[in-house]
Amino acid sequence: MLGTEPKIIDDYVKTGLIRFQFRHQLNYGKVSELASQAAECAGDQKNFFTMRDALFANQAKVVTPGDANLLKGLAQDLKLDTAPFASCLDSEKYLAKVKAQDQARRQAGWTRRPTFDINGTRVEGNVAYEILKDAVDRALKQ
Amino acid sequence: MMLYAELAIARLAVTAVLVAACVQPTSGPAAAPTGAQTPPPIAATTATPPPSSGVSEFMTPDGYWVMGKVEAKVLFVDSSDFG
Repeated sequence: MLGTEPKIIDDYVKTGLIRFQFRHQLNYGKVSELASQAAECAGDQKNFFTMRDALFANQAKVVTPGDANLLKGLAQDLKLDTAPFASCLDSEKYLAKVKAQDQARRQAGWTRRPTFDINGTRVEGNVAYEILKDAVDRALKQ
Repeated sequence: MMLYAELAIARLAVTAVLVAACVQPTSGPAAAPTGAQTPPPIAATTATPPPSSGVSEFMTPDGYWVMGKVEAKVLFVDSSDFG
């Protein structure tokens, strides 16, 4: 979603029309768990979405190996405060949280990656910007 | 003339006393620290970047991270996997 989401954020989030929420999916075991925890740990420094963007942009190089040290290096690249980030990641303090989010979306029947929900309208898969835009515009008119 | 010279000497003496009072000795008991010096926290030397989008982020009471304004009319949820 690196192609469409930035445009949604530019057109609708930055203009104050929508608020953009992220929910974790854990489809690849430890690899997913580690990356999701990294995003949450960055959230401790109010940089959840900065880390989220960086994780998506560096999936093959940083996320897929499932190596915590690579994630810590990414945090350093993002100029986060590295000591608390590393401590957070090593402690797994957000593991239960990300697992709970994953369980909740499974129970809700959100099985596709990604799944979007726009004021109750579900859109699944890597869809074109126009499809998301149409769903957002309809929600704004309601 | 004598009075002027005495005044000048007195001023020099006062200045010397003041300077001596302001300068901390570099050794000896008076210079010894009373407690262990702690290094500044890392947070003081590292900059935290703003969110990549330039938009503020917050967490909902149920623990989901959100970007944008709380009062925005539409909630756009993205559920995805980094793996």
